[in-house]
Amino acid sequence: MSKSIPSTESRSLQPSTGARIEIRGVRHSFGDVLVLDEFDLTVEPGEFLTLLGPSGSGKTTLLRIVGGLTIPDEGSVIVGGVDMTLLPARERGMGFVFQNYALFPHMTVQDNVAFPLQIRGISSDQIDRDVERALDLVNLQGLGARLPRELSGGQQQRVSLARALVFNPAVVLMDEPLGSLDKRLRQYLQNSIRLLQKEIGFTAVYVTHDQEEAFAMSDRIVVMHGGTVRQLGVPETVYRSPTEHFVADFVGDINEIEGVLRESGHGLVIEIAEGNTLMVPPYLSRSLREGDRVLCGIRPEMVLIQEEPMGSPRLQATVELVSFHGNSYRILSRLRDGRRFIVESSSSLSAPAEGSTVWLHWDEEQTIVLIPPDGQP
Amino acid sequence: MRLGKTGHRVLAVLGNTVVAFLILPILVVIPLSFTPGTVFDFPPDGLSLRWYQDFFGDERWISAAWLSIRLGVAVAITSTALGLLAAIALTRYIKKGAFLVRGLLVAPLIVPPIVTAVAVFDIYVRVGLLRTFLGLVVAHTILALPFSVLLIESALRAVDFGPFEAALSLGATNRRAWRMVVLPGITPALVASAVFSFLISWDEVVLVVFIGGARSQTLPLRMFEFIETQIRPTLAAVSSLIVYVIAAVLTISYLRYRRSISSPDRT
Amino acid sequence: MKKRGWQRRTRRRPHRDSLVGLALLLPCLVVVLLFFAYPLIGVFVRSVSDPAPGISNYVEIFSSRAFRNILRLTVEVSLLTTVGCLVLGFPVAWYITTLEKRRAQLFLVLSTAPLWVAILARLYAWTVILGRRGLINDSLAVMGLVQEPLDLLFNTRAILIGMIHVMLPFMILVLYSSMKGVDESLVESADSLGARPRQTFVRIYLPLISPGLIAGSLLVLIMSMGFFILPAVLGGGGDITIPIYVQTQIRLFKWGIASAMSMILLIVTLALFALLTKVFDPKSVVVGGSRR
Ligand SMILES: Nc1ncnc2c1ncn2[C@@H]1O[C@H](COP(=O)(O)OP(=O)(O)OP(=O)(O)O)[C@@H](O)[C@H]1O
Ligand SMILES: [Mg+2]
Repeated sequence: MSKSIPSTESRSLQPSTGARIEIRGVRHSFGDVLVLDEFDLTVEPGEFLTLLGPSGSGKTTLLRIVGGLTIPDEGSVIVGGVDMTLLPARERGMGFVFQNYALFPHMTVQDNVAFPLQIRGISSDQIDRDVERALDLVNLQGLGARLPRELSGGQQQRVSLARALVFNPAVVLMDEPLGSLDKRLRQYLQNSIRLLQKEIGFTAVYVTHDQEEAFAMSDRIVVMHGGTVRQLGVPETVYRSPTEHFVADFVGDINEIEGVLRESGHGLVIEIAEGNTLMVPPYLSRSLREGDRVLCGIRPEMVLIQEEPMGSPRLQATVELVSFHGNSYRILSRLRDGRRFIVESSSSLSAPAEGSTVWLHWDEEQTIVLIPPDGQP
Repeated sequence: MRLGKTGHRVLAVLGNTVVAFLILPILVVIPLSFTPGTVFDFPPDGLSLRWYQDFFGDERWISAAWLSIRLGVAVAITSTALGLLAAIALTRYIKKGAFLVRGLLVAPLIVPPIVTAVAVFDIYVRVGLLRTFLGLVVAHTILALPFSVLLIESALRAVDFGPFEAALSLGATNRRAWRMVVLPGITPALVASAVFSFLISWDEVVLVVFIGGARSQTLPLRMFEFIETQIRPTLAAVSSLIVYVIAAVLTISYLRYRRSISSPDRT
Repeated sequence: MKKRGWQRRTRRRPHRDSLVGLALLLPCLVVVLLFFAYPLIGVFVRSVSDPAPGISNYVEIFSSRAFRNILRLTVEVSLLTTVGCLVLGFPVAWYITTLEKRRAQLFLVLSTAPLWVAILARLYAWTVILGRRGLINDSLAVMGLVQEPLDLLFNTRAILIGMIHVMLPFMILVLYSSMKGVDESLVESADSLGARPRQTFVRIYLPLISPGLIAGSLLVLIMSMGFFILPAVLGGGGDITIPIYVQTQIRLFKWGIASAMSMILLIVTLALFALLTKVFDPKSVVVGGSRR
């Protein structure tokens, strides 16, 4: 196996030629804890793919396996058609952005960003030019002479991004790079990262446990739980049509209502509280029979609050608490059967009075119908 | 930083060799202490306890050891008591000049022992503390104080005085609040201070060479003079006894440590 | 309500507080000032007044050839000890950082265990090993490798071996703690950026642990220069280090010279110590390697 750094390959990459990553049957455990189980995933060239999942779901482990920092127990990682499973990280030529930035504290910003180029034996003129361009890219002109500890968290994060990009990697791996920054800065950097990625065209695998961040940035999202893929899809699909309860719950707030399948004149329908019926989504029609129980999920922002009983489906509720969130109100209400129901309505509409009785209405097609997980109603 | 397989193997060999270099030489006194002859014979012609008998049967060895023990205990108490007072002053009362005071108290740690010995010898000659128990206690307390002050002070700083004030506000007397809140927090440091002080005194030779003598001969001093003048392996028995005690203490504390790290994450 | 808390009182009655503080410090101060600081000043005074006022003692010391040999021996042995401890301590400390918790703890206990054993027991062990009828000579003779026993004890080399053996645990502790402090993700990051292990070691790892390397070396150097018992036991008649010289001069009642020599040792020690505190200063933690 060649010991050399793939500097030639990676440098000859033109913009918008990210590599395809194929993860096949990867399995990994630490001691007797199985962290990744038969994991399969393909990331398309130039795609921005986000691994989303709760803490401990194996996101970092998967990313490290792709990056060559961890060797999987089983399975293979194929990048740009080359099997890299056993290749050490230094020979993979991928950019890796660590959650804690991992800047070399004893080197200036300039030296940090120059490091991967120096390692590749590039001439110092060229290095200076490349470093300058990389610092421009992340908006850090003129800070080259500073030490990392003389920078703010956001600036440090951008240096680590510049360092991971400066050698034109075909793949960039990012592990919660914005995890420790405040909200505004996060949003700003989310945009810059996404713009950079679109401009340069590298394949990005991004890890986060923040669903909003995942939605905002990604072409596709992988929702992970317990070391397996729970759902893979574009953000809208994952949000609107989650395939299982865990995903539905994890990617956003959801109101849950039980339903039972009934035979009506025109076929199967779902009967929920207060005599409402919902149609069965076509993709479920074959797997459900009369008498089956399902969970119906309604996202808070899909619901319309009315003072009169109008439309169908609709549920009567009492408003308990109204809180103002700038662009929206969040309305905490209680259904007649005692269940809580959250509604989010635009703050351009007027909010109902606390204590008042209202009717909640939503578009029947927006209902998320889930087969309940075992052991739950 | 981790190395590759080969690198790690080389490192393991080097590491184990060096640790062997640290431990094994000390252990040679053990076989020697059991030889019947006066020199190391390999293979030995039998086992014998005669050098242990030599030690336990010799009034001078026993009284030296006994003196060292009494001295160590006295130093442990004195140094810990004085250190506690100083640490309280430094954490609670003294603001200006605390830096200087701490520097002065810690200085004996930095000054080469031989220089301290010359200085102490000089003053002892003048005030008549030479070759006295009190003189030894004072000298060793000076050497042990830096540890006591630093240990106790850092423990005091870590004590949360919130409950202390709460106890006072609930009507506890100052002394009672101290006993119930502060003391438990610094007890480990007090114990550590006492143990350290004892060990410092127990193993101190340089000052003792100058200010100890005939009637105040500590165990290290006797060992030192014995090494220089005698060739009988009684010293092997003494050294072995010391090694046994240390090995026992370290083994017990390591096993306790192992249990302490293995029990919580097995649940 | 916090009313009579200590901290409250310190804020309210600063004058009274410093009196209480002084009272608490008094026992310590009496002991340390009277039996340490004061006589130490006395040593300095002696060095410039005994036998006659002036710097004649220092002049004598610096102009004598014997002194230059003493100084050279002291510095040489201390430096070699430092180098020896670095060379031997580095792999051990590094090895321990790569072990899992339990084994690491075991190795730390083993490599610091000698510190708990009385120094004279350790030195005696070396006399047993190196002596003319000691372990090594015996073994060599049994194997028929030597006719005459080798002179391994009572020379500078024996001092050196003993010093390294005694100082090594300190070096290991200092190196280990600085190596343990290196963030593993920095090494991985260098790896992911394409650096080979050797490049990572030289450009990232070494600079990051350099404060530990320097601190450990200075610590060993400082302590080695002050050794008295060890060269007295393991060294030969010609191996006169500064501390040994001081003792012999005191025995000859040459207080002036002994005091001057003590002062020289003290000043060198303090200078090295000042350097040591520089290294530990948080603001200059990054020593070397910050510029290309
Ligand atoms: N080096 C390791 N040794 C032992 N167990 C580990 C190690 N690294 C991770 N694990 C375990 O593997 C599981 C998955 O860890 P991983 O770091 O991949 O999760 P994650 O999804 O990145 O979580 P987070 O969002 O908290 O970063 C966890 O249960 C973790 O405790
Ligand atoms: Mg993680």
